[in-house]
Amino acid sequence: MLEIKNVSKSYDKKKLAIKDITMTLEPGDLYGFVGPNGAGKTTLIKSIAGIISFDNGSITFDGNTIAKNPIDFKKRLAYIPDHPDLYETLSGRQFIDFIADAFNVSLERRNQLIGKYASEFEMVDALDKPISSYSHGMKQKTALIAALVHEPKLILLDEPFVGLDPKAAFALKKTFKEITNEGAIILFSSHVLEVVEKLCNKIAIIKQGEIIADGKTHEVLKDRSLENFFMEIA
Amino acid sequence: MFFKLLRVFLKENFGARRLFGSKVAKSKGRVIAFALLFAYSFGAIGFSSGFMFYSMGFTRELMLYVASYATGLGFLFALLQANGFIFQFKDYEIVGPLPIKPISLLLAKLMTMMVFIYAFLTALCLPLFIVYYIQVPFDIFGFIFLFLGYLLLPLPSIILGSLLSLLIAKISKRFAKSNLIQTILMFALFLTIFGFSLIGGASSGEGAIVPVWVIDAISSIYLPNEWYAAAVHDKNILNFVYLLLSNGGLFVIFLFIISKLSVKTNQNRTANKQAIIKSNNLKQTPIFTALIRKEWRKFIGTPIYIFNCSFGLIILIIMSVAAMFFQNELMIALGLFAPYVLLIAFAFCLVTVYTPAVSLSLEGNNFGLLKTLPIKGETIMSAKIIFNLLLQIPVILFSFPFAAIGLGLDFWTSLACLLAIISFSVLTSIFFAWLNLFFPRFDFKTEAEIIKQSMSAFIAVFGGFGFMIFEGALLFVLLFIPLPFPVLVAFLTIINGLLAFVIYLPMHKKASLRLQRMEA
Repeated sequence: MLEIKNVSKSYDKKKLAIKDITMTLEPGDLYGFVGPNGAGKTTLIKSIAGIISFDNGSITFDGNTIAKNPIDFKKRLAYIPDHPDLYETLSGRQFIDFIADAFNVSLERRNQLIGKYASEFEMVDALDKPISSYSHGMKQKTALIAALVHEPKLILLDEPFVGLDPKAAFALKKTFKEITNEGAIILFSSHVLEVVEKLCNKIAIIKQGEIIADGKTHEVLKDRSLENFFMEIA
Repeated sequence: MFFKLLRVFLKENFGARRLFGSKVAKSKGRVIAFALLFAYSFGAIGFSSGFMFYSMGFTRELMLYVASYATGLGFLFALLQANGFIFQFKDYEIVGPLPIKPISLLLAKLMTMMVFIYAFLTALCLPLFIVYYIQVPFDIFGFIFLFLGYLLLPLPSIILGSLLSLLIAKISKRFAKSNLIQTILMFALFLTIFGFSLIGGASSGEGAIVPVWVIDAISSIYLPNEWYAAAVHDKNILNFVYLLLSNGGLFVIFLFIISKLSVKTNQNRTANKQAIIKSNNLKQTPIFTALIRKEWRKFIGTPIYIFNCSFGLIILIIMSVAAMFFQNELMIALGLFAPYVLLIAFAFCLVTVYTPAVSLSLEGNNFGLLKTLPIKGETIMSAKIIFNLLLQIPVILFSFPFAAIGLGLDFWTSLACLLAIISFSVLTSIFFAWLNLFFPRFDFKTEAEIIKQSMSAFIAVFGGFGFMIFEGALLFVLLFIPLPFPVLVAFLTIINGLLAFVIYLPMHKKASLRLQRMEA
């Protein structure tokens, strides 16, 4: 379980980028995180991933807090930024290998999973080419495979569908479902409201750093579409 | 995991693709050719300095010279690079969420930076070591001290440079125009060091052989350099132990201090104070003016760009103004050589202002956008040349009268020298633009890769020095013609003009085609 309690963060010591955010994500949750540009989505996701520090509050995942036990916290976490800036001198496979090494994934298991996801994302032939030759979508797919290769229990994604072709987007949605069915938690931000509405069992809407709606998708939306609801409140 | 990290970081930072660009990296032959060019250039610098000491029989001073190089360059590189390598990782989004101990990550990053520093330093110092062992009989203990001491030498200056780099970044972030503030702070720091080294040198009272009194002055203030020379040259074990304990000990303490600091600085990236860009006074301007404005904005918005490409101009102003105050001493010391010294000093400083050699590459991902605009290639390149001249010529016009008066030149010699300098500025600016047109590189991660390491920048500086040598040799030949000196210098101006025309013409014709063929 991921527990976010009263988390606040300011970049300039004046204005809060996220204000007193409290959320609980349970195993199996596929959580969609929506909000206008600059609302604080990326700040919260990066705070959970340990990329940026936060000023107040705590973030705990299965008993480990990111502030006190960062290594144990990160052992079961994967994060994919909106524009994955991968090491361009490596090939896709070398990059995935590097990430797998960081998570101590056995050779047999990593080969099995690389094979599976490379095939699902149609990256089998491209993986041995240098990342510098990849398109944005291919980099995104490589980052996804690298994230999935260590079978994380918490996956954080910032705009994961941007740049993906329809087949890859479909494969990603399918993978999301599979992983959450196995008990992992996925939190992703997106501006594609239809995808969030159809895919996620829970949603959160953030505006000016504050969560203004949060809960099970059907309970939050009632009989409205997410788009209409978003236009009303955000 | 440390070695895995180090391997990836080294490959990412110093692979052939990163050093030479992807186009060159595709061909092994080109990589070897460029590597040989680098080796030759560094070898030429190192051996020429080394043999200067050899000819004077200064073997101990040669080791002090190595020590000064190691200390100075260690500081310079750490100051320019430590913030990116240690305190603000560019790849923190990749490595931040990984379950890696902070000390492993920091060590791998620090080692990567130090590999760069030592590689550069070794390229310069290896010829000096060879010259040293030509003069001094080889013995194993001396060599061990030489090698280990060499590794220890830059450590304190790397520490100082790193901490100052962080401090400058922290201070500059508090201001709206943080890039400009960062540049001003860097200049202030370097000019202070420059000033102190001049004062230290002057107070030593040995003006005959400039490098020797400068390095003597440095080592009398900074003891590790003296310990190194004593350990290597005099086989003084105690001095080696001092060096080991002071430099090595400091570095270990530094590691413990920054391992936590590095995590904090990477996680606490505060936003820069936002500048408000007023846009209510928009004006329509001709495309050429707009292009020059774009060049100016890029220039002042990139600290390493300003720092590298205007340091020579600042030094030129300082030296010229200083010449006014040391008029008598200079006239006595230089005598008839005064106009030659003036020409060399101006040319040397102007060669370091090489914006047209890098500005096309610096377009980076924006190059595609530039290509889609209805602007001729020659207009783009001409704007880059004019921008460089706009940087150089006002500084030349300002500083030249001070220098000419300071060196006691007569009117006609001054006028001839001024025209020769301006023509040299035009010639090198066109040559630099030509270089970037033929050696563009858009696949960079940081501007430093282009401004400091790219092939175009590298050839620009060494090519500029090549022009200086060519013109020096030409003037030497012209001196055999029985004509007044100003007339001979005027010949140089004409030759510069002709050369500039010869380089500019094909570039002007082919610029559009070449730009169209380039891919960012």
